[in-house]
Amino acid sequence: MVQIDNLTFSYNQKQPLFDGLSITLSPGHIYGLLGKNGAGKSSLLKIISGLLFPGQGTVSVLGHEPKDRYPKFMQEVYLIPEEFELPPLTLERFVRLYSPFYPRFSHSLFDGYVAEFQLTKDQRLSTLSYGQKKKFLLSFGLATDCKLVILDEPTNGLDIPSKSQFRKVVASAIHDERTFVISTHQVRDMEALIDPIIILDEGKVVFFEDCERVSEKLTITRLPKLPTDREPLYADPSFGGYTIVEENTTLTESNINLEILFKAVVANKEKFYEIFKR
Amino acid sequence: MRFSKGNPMNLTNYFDPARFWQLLKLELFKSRKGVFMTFAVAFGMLFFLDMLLGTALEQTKVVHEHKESYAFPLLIGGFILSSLAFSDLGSPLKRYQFLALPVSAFERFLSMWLLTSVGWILLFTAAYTVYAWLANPVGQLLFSDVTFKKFAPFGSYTLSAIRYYFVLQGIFLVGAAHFRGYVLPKTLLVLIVCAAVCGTLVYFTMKDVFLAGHECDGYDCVLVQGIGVHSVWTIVKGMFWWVLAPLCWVVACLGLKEQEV
Repeated sequence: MVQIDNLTFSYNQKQPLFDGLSITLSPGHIYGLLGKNGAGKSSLLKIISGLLFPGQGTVSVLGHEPKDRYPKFMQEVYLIPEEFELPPLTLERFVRLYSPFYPRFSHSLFDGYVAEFQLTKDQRLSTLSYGQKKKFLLSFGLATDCKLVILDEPTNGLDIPSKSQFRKVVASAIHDERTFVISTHQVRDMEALIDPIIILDEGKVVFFEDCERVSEKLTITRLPKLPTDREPLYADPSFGGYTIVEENTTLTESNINLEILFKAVVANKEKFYEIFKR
Repeated sequence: MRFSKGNPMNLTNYFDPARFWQLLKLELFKSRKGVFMTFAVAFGMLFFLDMLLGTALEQTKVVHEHKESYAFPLLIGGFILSSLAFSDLGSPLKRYQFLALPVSAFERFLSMWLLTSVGWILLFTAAYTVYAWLANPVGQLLFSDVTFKKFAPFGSYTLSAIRYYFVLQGIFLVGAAHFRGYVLPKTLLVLIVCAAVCGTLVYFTMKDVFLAGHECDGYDCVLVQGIGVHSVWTIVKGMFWWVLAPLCWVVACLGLKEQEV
C-alpha cells in the first residue's frame, strides 16, 4: 500500500529531515507513528498524502506517486491534520458539497458515525468545539471508504469519553483493504489500538515491530528499586520506584507500555535493533 | 489499450466532466459572498457616485452614457475577484483541505477561470444592462435636462473592454495561484516592477529617438506614431492579444500543481 525507498527531504539545505528513509506499509493495519517533536512525523504523513513533495527517493502509495495528486489517488487518501479550519457550513451542507468527490462515500455510515459521536447534521461547523470538529472530520473521512486514513494527533482535544469512542470507531472501521496511519504523542490513548508500532527518530525509522513481537522480546515491569543482579535495557524513574525494560527471556508474552517502550527505544536504538534483529 | 490509474496518459487524471461539475458548484457556492459584495459595491458606487453625484457636479453635462462607467468596474471588480480565486492557499489551515480535495490542478484552474473570466464578464454585463435599465428612469426623474442613454451590451466599446479584461485577467490568476496572502497588492507590485524594467529597457534602446526633436500635441505624437508602425510594435501587440493570456493560464495551472502545504 505504501512503499517508500531512500526518501530524502529537507525544509532547508543545511539539515535534511529525512536522509535515506525507507518504509513499507501493508493494508489491514493500524500503524502507530511515534516520535519526538520535530522528528518528522507530520512531514512524513504529508509526503505520503501528496501534500509535500519528496526531495529524492521514491514514494509509491496505492500504485501512485503522491506528488502527482491525481484525483483517483486523492479519493483513496484521507488526512486529518492536527490543525485545520473548516468552512462555516452545516454538517449536512458540507457533506452535500464535498461527498460527491468520493465515489464510495456512504451516507449511512456517516450518519452512524455522527450519531456515535453525538453530533447532529444541522449543526454549523463553526459553532463546534475543536474536539467535535475532529469527530466530524473522522466521521466524514471514514464514510469516504478510502483505503488510506491518515490521522495526525487524532486524540488531541478529545475528552475522556470521546477518546474511547474514537478507539471504538477506528477499530470498527479497519478492514483488509484499508490502512490507518496514526501519528501521536498521546501514546496511552492508542494502546491496544495501534499495531505495528513505528518509531521515527533523527530522520530514520528506528523501530518497526508489531505488538506481538514486542511482547515476545521485551518485558516491562515496575519495581520499587533498580535490580542489582542485572542491568535493564532501560529504567524510567517514577514516583515510588522504577519502570524497567528488559529482554524477555521467558516464553510468556508481556504487556506493552507504549510510553516506556518509546523512551527506551529512543534512548538505546542500537541495543533494541540488535535484540529485534535476532 | 488500457491505462493504469497512475498512468499520466489517463485523461481522467486531469479532467472528468462529472467531477468538474461538482467542483464548479462548490466554487460557486464558496465565492457567492465575494461576488455579491463586489456587485453591491460596484453598482452602489456606479449609481450614487458616478451617475447621481457625477451628474449633479458636472453642470454642463447633457448626456449620460454608460459605456465608460461599464469598463472600470468590469476590470477592477474582475481583477479583485481573480485575485481571490485560490484564497484558501493563503491560509495554512485551509490549504490542507484545498490541496487534499480529489480534483486535478487543471480542473481547479478551469473552474476558477470560468468563474472569474467568462462567468464574471457575462454576469457583470447582464447585471450592468439591468442596472442601466433601472437607473436611467431614476436619473431622468432627478435630472430632467440630462439625457440618459441606454447601455449597449454588444457595443464596440463594451466588446473592447471585454477583450482587454479577458487578456489581462490571466495575470491576476497567476498571482492568485502563486502568492500566499496579499495577492492583489503583490500582483500589482510585480506589474509595476515589470513596467519599470520594460520602460527603462525601451528608453535606453530607443534613447536617440526619444531625445531627437519631435512634437506631441494631444493624441498626435510623431514618436508614438513612429513606434506604432514599427515591426516590433506589431510583435508586441500580437504577443499581448494572442500570447499573454494563454501563457498566464498555463503558468497559473502549473502554479497550482506545484503547491504544497
